Amino acid sequence: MMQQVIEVTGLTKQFKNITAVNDLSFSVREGDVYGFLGQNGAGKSTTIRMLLTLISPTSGHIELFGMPLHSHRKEILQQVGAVIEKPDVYKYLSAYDNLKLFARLSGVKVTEQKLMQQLEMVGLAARAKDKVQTYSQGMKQRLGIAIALVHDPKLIILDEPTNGLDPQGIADIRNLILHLSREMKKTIVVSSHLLTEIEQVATKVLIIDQGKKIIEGESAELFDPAQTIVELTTMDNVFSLQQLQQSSWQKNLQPQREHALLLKLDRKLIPQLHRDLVNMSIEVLSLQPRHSLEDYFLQVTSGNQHVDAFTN
Amino acid sequence: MWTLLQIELYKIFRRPRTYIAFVAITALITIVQLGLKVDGKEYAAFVMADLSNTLQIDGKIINGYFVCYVLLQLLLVHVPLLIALIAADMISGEANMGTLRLLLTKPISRTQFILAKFFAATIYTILLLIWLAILALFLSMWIFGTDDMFLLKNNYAVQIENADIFWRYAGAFCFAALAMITVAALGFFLSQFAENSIGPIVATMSIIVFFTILSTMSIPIFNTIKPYLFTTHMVAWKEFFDVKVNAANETMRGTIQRPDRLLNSTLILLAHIVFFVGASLYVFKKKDVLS
Repeated sequence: MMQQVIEVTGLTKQFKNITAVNDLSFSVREGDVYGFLGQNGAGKSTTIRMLLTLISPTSGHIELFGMPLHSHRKEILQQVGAVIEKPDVYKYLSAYDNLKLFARLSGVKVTEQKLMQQLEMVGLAARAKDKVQTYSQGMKQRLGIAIALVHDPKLIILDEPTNGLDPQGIADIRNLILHLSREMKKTIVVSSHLLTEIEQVATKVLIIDQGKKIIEGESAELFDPAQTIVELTTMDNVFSLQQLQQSSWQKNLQPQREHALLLKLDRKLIPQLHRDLVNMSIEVLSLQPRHSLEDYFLQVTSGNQHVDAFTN
Repeated sequence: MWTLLQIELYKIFRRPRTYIAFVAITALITIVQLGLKVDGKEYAAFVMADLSNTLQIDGKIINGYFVCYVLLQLLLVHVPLLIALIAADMISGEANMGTLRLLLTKPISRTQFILAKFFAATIYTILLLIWLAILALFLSMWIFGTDDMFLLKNNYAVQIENADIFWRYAGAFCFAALAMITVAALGFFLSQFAENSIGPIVATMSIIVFFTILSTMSIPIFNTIKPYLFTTHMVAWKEFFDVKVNAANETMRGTIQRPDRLLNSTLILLAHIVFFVGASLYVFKKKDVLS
């Protein structure tokens, strides 16, 4: 049985009057590439920063590797490598010096050969001794990943790793994530506001919006074109939810939105659902099947920003 | 902790900015020394103008010890700015570069992180003072030679024997280091509240200027707070150059006139350092890193 690497329960972060993360729960298993998807400002970075102890949660519980984060911070962070948004390093030092410095901070002694191997893996060996201030954004991003990997962590957290990269840079990062997962058996959490990026690498996906979980599931199911999300609006959603929870549709229920019930099911089952709703005396106002996860996501988040983000 | 401290020192001394202070001090001291070497006699005549009719002074007034005293009076007002350039950048500079978040994802405690950074700033301060001592004291002794030191105070003059001076400078430089570490601690504390180093550097200097004005103004309402301002005590290094006199009004070798004042100032500066570092730890441990 695969071990849970991350277990988050009821995580909330309040900044004065803004709730950045709201009662968020999820878990990541060993070996997962866990896609963390949401528009800009959805709460992805805040959640990731709480996983890395950069931000204290207002409430909730975080366990990594079976240990509470607040009481086992040091042991946990020894097994974690991270790139958070922009991969900022010391620009007045070379890639080699940066890597050596962060390896020492991670508590490992690495040989020059090992450092060069790391830089080789991210394609920076030829520029290892050049100052970082002469690097492109893509090169800095790759150096950030080398720093995250230098102490051979079990869990790698990448927050928006493709931000500011050109298409080739994006493809390089994607291939690196796949290599780390498949060849090096790392557990990876990767956040993005681009559905297409997550779709290509993630084994499991969590979508959040306004700090709340919208949907979580295996990529194979979520991105299955035969599967669809049905949004159901009824006269009495509380009653309807009770009825559905007691029926065979219980397994199809998704985390609920404010004014609608959500079910994930094979498109062929929609007529059956319709019949069962009538049999359960549920008064249906609307029943809208969404064509895909992307379509669904565009519907549940509003405003141009979302459309821009997901059509990039 | 040792590894962290080594890393912090490595970062400080790999940055070009670090050497601005060393270059500035070198430039200032050599200019003053050059001026005194060329026009020292005229300067001595100007300083002693009021006493020349009543006092016959033999020997070299402009000697290495005297020059060092002049330099310390001049520079210890400006060195805080050079200290603030580094100390007030210790946290805010990392936040500005974006490296703070990366550092804090490493398996090091925030307490260790803060202490390592503060000790690194302290070592930088001490090295700067050592450099100041090499140039202001040893270089001046080499250029101007040594003799008894003759100092004019507000309403009296002090003559300290040649053989009784060096230990006083050792004490004065140690005390100056303590005063500058207090400045470093203030800058360090302020550096947590900004994401660029300009704000904390300006704030540190503003506080020093403001407190210095309060310390020097002879207005009764400020007299109650003066003893608690660290700027009041930063100049207490001069106590090393006030010598006790015996009943015949002769200076007593190896003595300080008011050692109690020196001790009091030392304790107050130490208390400020403990307060600023303690407050830094308290604030930083609760800080959400959003940079």
